[in-house]
Amino acid sequence: MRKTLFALLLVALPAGAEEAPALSGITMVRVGGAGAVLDVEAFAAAPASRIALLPQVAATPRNPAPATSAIEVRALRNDDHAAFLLEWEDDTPDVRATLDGFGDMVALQFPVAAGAPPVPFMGNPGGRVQILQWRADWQTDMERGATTMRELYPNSYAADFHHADHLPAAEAAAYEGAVSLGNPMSVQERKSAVQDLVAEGFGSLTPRATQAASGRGTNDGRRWRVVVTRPLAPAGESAADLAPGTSTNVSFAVWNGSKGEVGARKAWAAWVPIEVPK
Amino acid sequence: MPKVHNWQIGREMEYPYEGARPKRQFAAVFDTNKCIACQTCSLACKGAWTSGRGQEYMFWNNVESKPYGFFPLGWDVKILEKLGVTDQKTPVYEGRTLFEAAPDGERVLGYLPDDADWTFVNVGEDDSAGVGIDRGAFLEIPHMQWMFYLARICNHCTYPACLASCPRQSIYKRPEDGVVLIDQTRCRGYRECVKGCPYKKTFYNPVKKVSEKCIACYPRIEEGRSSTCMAACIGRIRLQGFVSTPENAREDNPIDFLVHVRKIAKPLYPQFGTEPNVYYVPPIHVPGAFLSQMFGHGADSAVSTYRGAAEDKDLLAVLTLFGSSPMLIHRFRREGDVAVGFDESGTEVARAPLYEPSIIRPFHDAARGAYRHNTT
Repeated sequence: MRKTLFALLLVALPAGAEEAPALSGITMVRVGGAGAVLDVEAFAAAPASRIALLPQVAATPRNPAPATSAIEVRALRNDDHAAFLLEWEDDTPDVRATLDGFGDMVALQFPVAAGAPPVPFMGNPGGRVQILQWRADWQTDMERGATTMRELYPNSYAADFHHADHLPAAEAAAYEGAVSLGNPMSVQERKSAVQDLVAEGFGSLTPRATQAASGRGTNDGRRWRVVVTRPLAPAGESAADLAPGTSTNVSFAVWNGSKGEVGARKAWAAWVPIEVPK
Repeated sequence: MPKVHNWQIGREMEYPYEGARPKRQFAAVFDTNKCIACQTCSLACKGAWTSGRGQEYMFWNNVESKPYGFFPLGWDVKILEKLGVTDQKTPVYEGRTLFEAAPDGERVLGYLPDDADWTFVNVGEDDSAGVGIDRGAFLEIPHMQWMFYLARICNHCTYPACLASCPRQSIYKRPEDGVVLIDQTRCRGYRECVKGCPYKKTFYNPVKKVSEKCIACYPRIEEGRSSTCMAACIGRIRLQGFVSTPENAREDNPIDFLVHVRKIAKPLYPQFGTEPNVYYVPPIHVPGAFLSQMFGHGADSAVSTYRGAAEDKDLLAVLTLFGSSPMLIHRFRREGDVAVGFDESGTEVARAPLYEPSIIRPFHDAARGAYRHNTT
């Protein structure tokens, strides 16, 4: 399976991708302080690495012509957190998911175990990866409150009688579907715009029991600048260890919502080496 | 890609997964000739399942006017246009299914409806008449004017395109009854299923950020009762049960009788290849070419058999059982001029006469010295 995937990767490399300095690795810098880093200014001393993004053509549905071809990455660590500043061109910020539209997203991925990394594209059975996915629509939920139909479609008829509101909680649960089942997609009061996930191959993406990442993004009408941060120490099961001195790999994926990119329809990168400075 | 057998198109076809039929398959027959689009079914479903936030626009059950009514807008003509001309004159369909016609890198040929497509829920579809009969028709179209109502729910397909489309395998088909469900704990709202389902019966909930669909009221099915849209139908156009494959058809199963024995109930757009399990008695007044496109091979003979129902007491018995019980009828029997339905355990749950008693009253009521007329 790995051979096939790497063959696909080579075929998929866009012209000029070999110029990208990505494979030389990302330099993570050490800064002072502690706690989650969400401030772009904190990255002033961190050098940028430009990483070529590839079309996702390994699994259906494929995305042979992704909207984004490269991502610029800066990385730092402080006493107890790592943080990444991710920047890419996108002049159509999509911050809400409508019926026919998708939100913009970016994700980082780390191998969970030390040693030879698993398949770079969401891992493989037995080769687990941790994925941190920042979602523009989740951030909007945090900033403006959970999505409502009235906000998405101001002129639509919006029912004001939801019968689950008038039932005892135990009975209402049957009518609330994903909300009552605790699907993180459906949380109405979000605590983070970044979802902390684990995967062992295509279609296996699963939220981790411990959610330890956060992030914040801005778009100036031209470019997304998103900071994603997580503790250095692994929190809970299936988290990569980013202890000082660790040599590991990181990978990225970008989705442009208004270009119909969601799920498997994405641009992604191969592994890039990274060292967590002592 | 694995090959599966689709009896509705009479051949093997490509499907992303191995074929595995459920122990029994949810099914229903809708008689289009009886539907008056009162929307009682739509509201029964709406009240039961889609009164929540983000579900305002959803109609897991809807009734649309054909040929020019749609929900969402143009759902069938759009996918038919993508699929191309589909000749179904022979029992074996020689064209491509939506799986076989999938573009490179896709699992199914499909499309995602636009936002606005969801806003035309049977509004204005019937307003074809002008004001006053002497002024003629408001709508001028290149063929004789005809229409009928098409009630639609999820078809709980044997080879669901929604299930095939989902890259996370979040959609599954229950082995006990063939009901197709979206796992609400796994769905991540990619909308591949919305794109893939040709009938557009999966719906994205933008408040919950996951997709939702008709669940066939499975809690009711588990109790031997019919789904709420079926039970609520005041026109008694619906009969719910379980359908067998042709080789396993049981003559005393009312669904099998209509689908496989008398063959008056036909699947909706079988050329899509999903083997849908809501079957329709085609409208008797609609041109054959249209019926053939919509209901596949044999739609015209279904109409002629249906027209002869008055002379076919067994067929009449099953048609009489439509809407005659809130319970699922697993077997039926005709006892003279009475139709009898039984549940799974053999207990009688329906009994209905084939003919209503009729009394002709004389025009003149001698006892009261009055004439009767039919407006009082």
